[in-house]
Amino acid sequence: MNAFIVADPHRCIGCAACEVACAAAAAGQSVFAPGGQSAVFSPRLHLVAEAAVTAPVQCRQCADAPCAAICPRGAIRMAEGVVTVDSGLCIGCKMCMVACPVGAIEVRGGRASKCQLCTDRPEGPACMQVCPAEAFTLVRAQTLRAELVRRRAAGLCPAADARP
Amino acid sequence: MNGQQNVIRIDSDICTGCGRCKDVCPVGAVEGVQGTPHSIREDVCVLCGQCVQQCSAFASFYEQHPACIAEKKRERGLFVSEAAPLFAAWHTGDAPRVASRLAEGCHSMVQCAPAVRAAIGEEFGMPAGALTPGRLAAALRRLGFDRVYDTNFAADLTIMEEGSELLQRMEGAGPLPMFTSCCPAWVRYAEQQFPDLLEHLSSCKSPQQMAGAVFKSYGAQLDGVDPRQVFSVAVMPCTCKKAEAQRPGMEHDGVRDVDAVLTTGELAAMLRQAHIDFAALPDEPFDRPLGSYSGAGNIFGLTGGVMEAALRTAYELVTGEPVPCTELVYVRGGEGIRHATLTMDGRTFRVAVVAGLQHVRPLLEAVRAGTCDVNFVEVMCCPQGCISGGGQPKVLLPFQRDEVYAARKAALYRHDAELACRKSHENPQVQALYREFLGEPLGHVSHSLLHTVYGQTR
Repeated sequence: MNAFIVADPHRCIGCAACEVACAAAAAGQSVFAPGGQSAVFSPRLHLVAEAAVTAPVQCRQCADAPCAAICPRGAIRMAEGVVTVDSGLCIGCKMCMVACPVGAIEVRGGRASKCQLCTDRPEGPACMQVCPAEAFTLVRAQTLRAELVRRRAAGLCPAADARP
Repeated sequence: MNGQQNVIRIDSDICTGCGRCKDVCPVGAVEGVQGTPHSIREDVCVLCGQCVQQCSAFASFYEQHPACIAEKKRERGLFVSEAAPLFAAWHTGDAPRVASRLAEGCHSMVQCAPAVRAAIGEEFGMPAGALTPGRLAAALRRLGFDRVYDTNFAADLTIMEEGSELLQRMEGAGPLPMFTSCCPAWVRYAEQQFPDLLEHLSSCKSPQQMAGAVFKSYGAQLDGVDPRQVFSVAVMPCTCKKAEAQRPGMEHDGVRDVDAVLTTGELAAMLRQAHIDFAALPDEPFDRPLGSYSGAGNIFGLTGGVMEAALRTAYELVTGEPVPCTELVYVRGGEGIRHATLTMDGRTFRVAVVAGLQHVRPLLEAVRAGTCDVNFVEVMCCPQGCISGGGQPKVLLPFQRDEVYAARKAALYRHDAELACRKSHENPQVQALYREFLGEPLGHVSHSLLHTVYGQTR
């Protein structure tokens, strides 16, 4: 299983700081710095807002990524546990947008764009860093296993041997 | 362009310039540098709509303003309520226009091409290959068409006319090989690229146009209405059929054979708009007489189908005996070109089936050079014939395409095998039409109604 970032809608306050930080990280410059206003604003996650709930949604780094499977040019590949777009190969055909079950990949400026966990950023994912509500969690395989053990112990889900 | 509208277009607001339409275009009509919006050369485009089938670049819900989407839907001739995404490559639509004409209460007659009944179910969640002739007839009736007829009837009629024309040419009355003229994209290509070979094209109108001509003559007579009052609609798996209906020469006494053409997808949209639950409809028959058909007429929807239908009849006309096996599997070609021979009355009959317009050029060059010894050639522009036409339900995922086309194909062959009447000349209603109205194949009435002149377009 790959690591991925997920946000807790109960914590999210809908401020959209994550979108701004993501766009800035993707553009490689601060949108608040001089000249930053001209940077292309292409966040790789989207704040979904409804009356009752808000939550940012981004790529789940599927182990059997449908976007990678459908890509006619082989431009989407797994690189060290992250589903990664090779912009040089991408032709912008949008097949990945059709295939994604989460709606977390987009074609912007003729190239596919998606969350790549800010692997090139020493500080880690920009969205997590700026979120004032600490709504984001970086989920790793061991995190999920630990959570499963905790829930079973708390009687929140049946033990494996109790399943029909 | 003969004043015809440009049926196939690419929306530069949506096109990402991925170039896959360029790869699939059989005539090299798409131009553009990768990464920038592509465009279509109207003088080369044959309007087959394969680019429309291939295109996956759709208007992002994040980037497009909803008002802009509604405006685009109007421009494309779609119902604004239609929920499907807007793709960059598109064909002009006629469903809102047809719906309003029907609401006005004209005397309407509709025909339905064979490939539609093998695919429209997909638009309503049925599996690929669901065969729905009965539901299709019921659906068209629910939409308010006064006469629900069938293009398959005219396909049988085409075999009578085209088969007779071929036999006449074999007697020395015209140049060989003779090429079929049912596929309008192929006709456009011949007119654009090989105008010197047009005399090789059969003079027959396509089944769509033959049906329209019969609607507004014999059909109007049966209903006791003025042909000018008849609103003639065709439901087709094809985008080029829209342009064909507007061609010069596709009229009789100043009355157009076909007034409007809907694609399979557009008919599905009309049914959704009218809240008709296609999957829940009962099976109903097509109206008679112009809705009865043989299995031979039905396989016109497949590559090799016209050839197979023609040979079933030609064999009997030439030898006076029934064809030894009805299923002529050797002409059931896939993509590319297939040659076959059949011996009739001691004479060897050579045929060729071309599926995919990009494969026809070598054959035409051979005809030009006088080195082609084939008698009869069927040409279909689309890779698997009409079942894979540009107006069919879109198969978006490339890996599903072969599977879906195979299922549609199997459905049409199954339908043929299930029908009691499997040869065009045995269709009793076609026989009655000749007895009561047309006289004989290639006769005076059929010549004026069912044949046309194909000519250079540029």
